[in-house]
Amino acid sequence: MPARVIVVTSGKGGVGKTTSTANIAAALAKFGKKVVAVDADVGLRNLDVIMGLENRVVFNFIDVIEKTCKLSQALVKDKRVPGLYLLPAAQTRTKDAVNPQQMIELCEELKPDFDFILLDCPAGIEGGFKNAAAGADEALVVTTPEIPAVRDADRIIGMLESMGKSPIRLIINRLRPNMVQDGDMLAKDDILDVLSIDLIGVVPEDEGVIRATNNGEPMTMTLDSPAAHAYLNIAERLLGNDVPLMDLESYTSRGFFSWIKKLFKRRTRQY
Amino acid sequence: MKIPAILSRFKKPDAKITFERTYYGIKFFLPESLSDDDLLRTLAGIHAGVYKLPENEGLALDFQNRACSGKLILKLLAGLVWRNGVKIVAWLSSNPDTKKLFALSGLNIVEPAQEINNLKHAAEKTLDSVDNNNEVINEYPGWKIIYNSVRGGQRIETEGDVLLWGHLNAGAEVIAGGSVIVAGKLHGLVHAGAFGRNDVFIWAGIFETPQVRIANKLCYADKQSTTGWLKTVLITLENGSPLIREDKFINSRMEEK
Repeated sequence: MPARVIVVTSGKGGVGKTTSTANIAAALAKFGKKVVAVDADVGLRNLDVIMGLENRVVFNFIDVIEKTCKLSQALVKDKRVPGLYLLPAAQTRTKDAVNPQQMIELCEELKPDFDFILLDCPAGIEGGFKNAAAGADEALVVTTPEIPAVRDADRIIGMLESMGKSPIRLIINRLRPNMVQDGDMLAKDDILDVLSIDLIGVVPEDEGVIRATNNGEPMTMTLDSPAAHAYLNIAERLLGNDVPLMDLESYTSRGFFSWIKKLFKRRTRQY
Repeated sequence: MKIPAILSRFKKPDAKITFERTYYGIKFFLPESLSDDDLLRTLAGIHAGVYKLPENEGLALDFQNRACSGKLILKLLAGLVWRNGVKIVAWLSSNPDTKKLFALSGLNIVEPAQEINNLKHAAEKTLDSVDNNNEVINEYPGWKIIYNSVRGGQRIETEGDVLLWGHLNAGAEVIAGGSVIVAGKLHGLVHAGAFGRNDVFIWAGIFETPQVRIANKLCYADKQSTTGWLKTVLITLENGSPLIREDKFINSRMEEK
């Protein structure tokens, strides 16, 4: 079966594309799949840092495209999880160094050896996005529950639809259930109403993400935080398994009053 | 022989105002070598019949590179526009300061688009054809129906009317020569009557946009002060101003739910 090529994109920067790519890739690898995470953010590479593989990068995918090295030489194998690979971006080049056709050819070259190819897309709607999206068949759109992020996600979804990508699924990242309850943050249903695409997962705001990012270890490798579980669930859903959405309130509501509140609550909100 | 200063105002100016027939009426070229007084005097001297244009036509004043003052604008309005009842469709200038002044004064600084004329002819032709030849009726732009939401960055442009059977998301635009109906949420920008028609409307299932445009009018909106925010509304032009009416029938049913 040929590899599934999925672009992880958002439009707006800083919403968690790279974190999502690293964690979903690691989770899929944990499920026994052979996965390559491709850093398509030429000139601003970060995926290697988040995956904790920056000290092992020798070649990058621009070198592969320019035939400076072989594809196998540029792939960095993650020794912690079998089947997880990174194809890094060049840090000293710009997004003009690659064109959509070259990206398509690169993905075609990767396809026979992998089950999943995850493309970490740069922010924006210009060349970098078009290059990354060109090689993909499916898309994961990451947004945070903020109006600018949702607006940019809407723009990106429109562009992905016009490029014929399908399915396009949504990850809502950094949701704070307590803020949603207080009416200070967009709720899941508000976002889905605007974006009108399938939701694949909701990742709660979690300090563990910062810790894991700085330690260079995807959270899904250790599974000691709510966000890690959310990413693992997303990976399972990508594999076609029916996994219910997490009850995020159980992670955020702590203490005696929360317990009393929970006891008397008639309805549990599902996220 | 040098003319004394006191008599110079009676001297016939050398530069002449020239005219050009255009698709929207007449364009006046006002030479910048004429002083403000000479300009006003020359315009006042033009036969009143010149200003009697058909109802759908107007006058464009091209000031070229003249540095116009607010005082001159007022004098032109009083001496030319209000006195002769003439419609000025464009105040043109290549001088940036003058252009800015015109824009600040709410005057139209671009020539009417050719589309107005094309549309006008299309409409006239359609009306004529009702009596003569039914086949030509299809030329009327008619309704454009969109069965899905329009996303940010997408733009719908049509000479006719628009029915959007979905949301108009923030950053999306509908530019229509006719009326616009947005069945879902109106977050984006709608311009109804974009080519000059005043008899158009905007109907929104849920009104939540910071700006709407009807004909040449622009209406800002916000949740604090605008009637019908987050409600079903009908927006029309009444006495030249945008008017937002809540759809009380639908809104009361929504509140019941």
